Amino acid sequence: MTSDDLAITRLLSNYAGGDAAAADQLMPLIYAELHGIASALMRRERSDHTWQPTLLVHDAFLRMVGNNASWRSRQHFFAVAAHAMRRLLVDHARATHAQKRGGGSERVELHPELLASEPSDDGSIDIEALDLALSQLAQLDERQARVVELRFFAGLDVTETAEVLGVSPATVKRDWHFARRWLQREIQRDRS
Amino acid sequence: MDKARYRLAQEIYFEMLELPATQRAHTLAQRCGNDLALREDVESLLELDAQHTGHLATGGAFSQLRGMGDGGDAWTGRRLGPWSLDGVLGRGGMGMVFSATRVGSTFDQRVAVKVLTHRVFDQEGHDRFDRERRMLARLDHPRIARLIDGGVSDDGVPYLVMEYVDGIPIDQWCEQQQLSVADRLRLFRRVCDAVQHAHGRLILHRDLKPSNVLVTHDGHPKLLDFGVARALPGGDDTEVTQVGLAPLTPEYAAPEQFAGTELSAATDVYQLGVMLYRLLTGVLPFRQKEGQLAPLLQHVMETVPRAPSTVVLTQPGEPAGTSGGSLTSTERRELRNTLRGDLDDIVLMALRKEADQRYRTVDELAADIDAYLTQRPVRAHGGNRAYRVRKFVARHRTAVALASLVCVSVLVGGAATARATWRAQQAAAQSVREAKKAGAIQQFLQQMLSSADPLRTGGNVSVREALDRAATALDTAFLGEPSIRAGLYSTVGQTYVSLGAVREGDRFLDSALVAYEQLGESWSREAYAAHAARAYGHMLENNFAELRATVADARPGFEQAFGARDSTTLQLGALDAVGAFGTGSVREAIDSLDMILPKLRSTLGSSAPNVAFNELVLANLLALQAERTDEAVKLVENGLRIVEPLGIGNATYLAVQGFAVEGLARLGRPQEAVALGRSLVARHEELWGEGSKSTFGSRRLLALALLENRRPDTALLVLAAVVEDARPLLADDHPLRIMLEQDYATLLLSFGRASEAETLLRKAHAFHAARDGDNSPKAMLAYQNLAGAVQAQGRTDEAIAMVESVVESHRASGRGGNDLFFAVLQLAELRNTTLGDSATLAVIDEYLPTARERLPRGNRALNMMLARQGQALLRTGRTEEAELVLHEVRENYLAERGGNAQHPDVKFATQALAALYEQTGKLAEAERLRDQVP
Repeated sequence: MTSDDLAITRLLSNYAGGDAAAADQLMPLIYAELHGIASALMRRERSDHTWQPTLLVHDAFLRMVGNNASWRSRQHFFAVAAHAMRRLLVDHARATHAQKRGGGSERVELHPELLASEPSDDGSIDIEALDLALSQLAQLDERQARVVELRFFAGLDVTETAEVLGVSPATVKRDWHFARRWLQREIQRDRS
Repeated sequence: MDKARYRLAQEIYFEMLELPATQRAHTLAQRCGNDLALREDVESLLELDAQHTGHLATGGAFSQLRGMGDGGDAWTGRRLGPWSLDGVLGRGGMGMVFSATRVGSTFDQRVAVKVLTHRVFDQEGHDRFDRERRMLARLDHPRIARLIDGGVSDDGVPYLVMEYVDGIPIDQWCEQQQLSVADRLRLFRRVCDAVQHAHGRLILHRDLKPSNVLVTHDGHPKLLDFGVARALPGGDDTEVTQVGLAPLTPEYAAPEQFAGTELSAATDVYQLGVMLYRLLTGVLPFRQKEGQLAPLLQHVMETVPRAPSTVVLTQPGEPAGTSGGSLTSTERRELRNTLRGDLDDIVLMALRKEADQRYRTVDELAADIDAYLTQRPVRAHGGNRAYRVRKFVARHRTAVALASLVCVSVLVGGAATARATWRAQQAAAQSVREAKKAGAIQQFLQQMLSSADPLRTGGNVSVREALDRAATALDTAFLGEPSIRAGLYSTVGQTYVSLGAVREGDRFLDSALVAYEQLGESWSREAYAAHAARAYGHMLENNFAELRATVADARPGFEQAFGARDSTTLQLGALDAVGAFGTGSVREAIDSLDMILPKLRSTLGSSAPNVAFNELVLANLLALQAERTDEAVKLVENGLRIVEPLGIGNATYLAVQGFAVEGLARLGRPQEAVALGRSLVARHEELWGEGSKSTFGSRRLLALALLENRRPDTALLVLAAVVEDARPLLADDHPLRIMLEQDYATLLLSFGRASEAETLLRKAHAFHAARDGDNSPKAMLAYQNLAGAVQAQGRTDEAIAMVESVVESHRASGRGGNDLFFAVLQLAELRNTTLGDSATLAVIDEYLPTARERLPRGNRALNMMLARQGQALLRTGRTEEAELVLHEVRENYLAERGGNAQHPDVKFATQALAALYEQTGKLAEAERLRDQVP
């Protein structure tokens, strides 16, 4: 176990113990790990590689926390990792946007439910528009924004999401249903 | 847009989704008023939803899923939990009834699924529904259709899964069979028994009517929908105006159901009275005309019904002893004469307006019918005709008026009944007549049910509440009647235990046993029930030593009283075997079950749940020893089949499934075990809530199955979570917690986390040494595990000393089974690390003769010793001896595992032998063997 691993474990248990500041410290660690995995993937794979953020998050979890984690630590990891993944994707989108001509066109494969609803012309999702809409949603209903983040960027299912947020699965379903419709509409409006 | 507006839009959005598309525009305009922006907002979202769900016309997946009260097409083919709906059986005020089968079940289990399409639950409703469902699952009577399962669909619609009954409504049956008055009374009498049984368990029916009492082709009545009314929201609401929400059938409803006042056992008495009226005269006391409820309501509240004998002369209908209503006037007069007098009195007494003027219990009604049939005087008397309702109406004027308003709006059209064909699935068991004493006990419990403060509870109390109340009232009840008191203690104690409150239960069972002793009835069947419940409670608490002590106290007495082949003695013997298993005396448990099971089968019948339970215990023991594995697999499969119809609320069902997970995992079928384990955990979580104490056992079993399926990392995650959940819920030295921690520690060890494991194992060892004794099998096992943790941290000498002491202790105690030889193996391994293969050989050589003598050929400990010996021989260059030994292992396993080359044990032996051939250059031989194990 490296000292980084120990730090993660300690931070997660602090976070689980109610130390909100621990989440802020976890963020950069997880972000860095996700970034590392993603870069390695892109170097290894062909340029039209398909990203699967949810797999990335799970991969990061196994590398950083590993099998020894308790169920609670796992929840807290994903709670933070979902946000880190979102940031990573937005940063990545901005970067490729800036050098569109040179780079390959990595596809980002996100939650199929959202993808199926609103694909743009090239079949991928406009991460930046989604990010913007999601930030607006967080102003109106913070929990719904968290539901989308967890399901969308960390690939949690309804039950897992409900556990992380401490609400019932029915609430998550309702939130997810409405938030999705609302986001779709906002992104659509934004585009036209 | 601000938060409040967002929330409002959301609320209206979901409201609209529940409406048919045609009604939306109108309602939306109404809800939004002048706020056009809001309206536009919701409209655009709805439009988007319609695009994505592809249901523009019907308006969204949400409303489609709810069935919409039409043909039920939206539901047919759908799955609810493990049930696949395949056809509509009928529909009623509460929803629709479907015929369904269990998905993936190896045999056909047909059930009736009641989908309560008119309700969508919030979390609170959901919780309450779950609680009530659990209580109803405890109703177990051959004349009551069993509640098998239930839940809430993904979109919040509750459903109940009931036993499928093939029969026709009791009134139609009487007509079809042209039953005489006496036969009708006898049939009705059996219905009373079933209702009484439920009342004794504090459950009211509240919707008794012919379509809820089906008679099977062989003439047995069966009650449907027991307690369904109670499991529903509105079923026990406190407000009078809520009366309309509880499902009821107006023509059979009692006055208090309309008035919304307290319901009690007398409510069911009234409804039985209406049914009896109908069975005897062919007509109802009051009829609803052209769907108008108000006139009916007024009659129910204010009019004394005409005596049955007076209606048969004039009323058309199908009175008793007729075929299709074509009675001659002579026949009608005969019938009138039969009914006049006692039967008139009985029916009218049941139909009195004021609950306390009726028979107070169903038993009293039944007793009067018995009296009539045996020509004894009946309790009901001519006072009926003088009975007036004026006082009642005056007192209830307001309630009556209020109820009329509510009922008319809610109930119109709600009284349609499910006219389904149901099939009796289970062999009808004999209905057991309650002893007089049992009657008094039931009455007492019923009083607890009916004496609820109506202002506080609206007439219904939970079982637990009623129990607590009964427990308090017991101090002063039946002081002069010790035998009734004993029965009450026992009943209350058993109910507590079955609700999982073992400590409370034990207290009452103890009092019951003291009382039986004072009565000189220490060895009666009643006393047996109390003993068995205590033992069962100890098992729930994982306290097997106490279980054995309890059985040891009771068994000789019952054997003396009833003989060795009586079911009481046999079942105590089987419980003791469970205790032996739990305390680690595996061989003893196997021997004792081998002896008891055949007798138990012949006493109870081979498909009794209790037999299944004990078969599963035996299967697990055999699996643990890896002996007679084919037989063990058959026992598991058979047991699962027997308990399948019992349903998830049943304790035996859950226990058998749990044992099956463990058994299958060890019997070389780990994938099935994992699948069954997962579903069992899901069932427990659904029943008791995630993370609750009652889920620990099944989660531990799942971990075990995962481990056998070579998924130790997942198993570790599962166990870690259980141990974490157990910490706040179980005391530090709770036996269940110790067991979980010990399993977890053993697994931690294989992940190299030895120091964590050592801490937990030290605790487990100290616990077992203190509770079961230093030399008990459980303490020894913990000590061996502990030695493993010690060695893993490099303290080999310390570990060797520990295991030596275990071996010594097993030898000294004369226990020469698996335990001894597994300890020997561990010792051989430990010595190997310091002294090499010759030390291993020395240890094994010393013990192998004894092992060969004591253990059967297929035993795993024996063959592991042989295999270990073979390996050491090979490494020290004695290849020919090694080949012989490893060959023997393979032959042993092949012979004892049904010749199955793919059995994990056989595979292991084959690979070991193949490796030997490779090393000794016999490559063709090696290849031949390798081909057998892909």
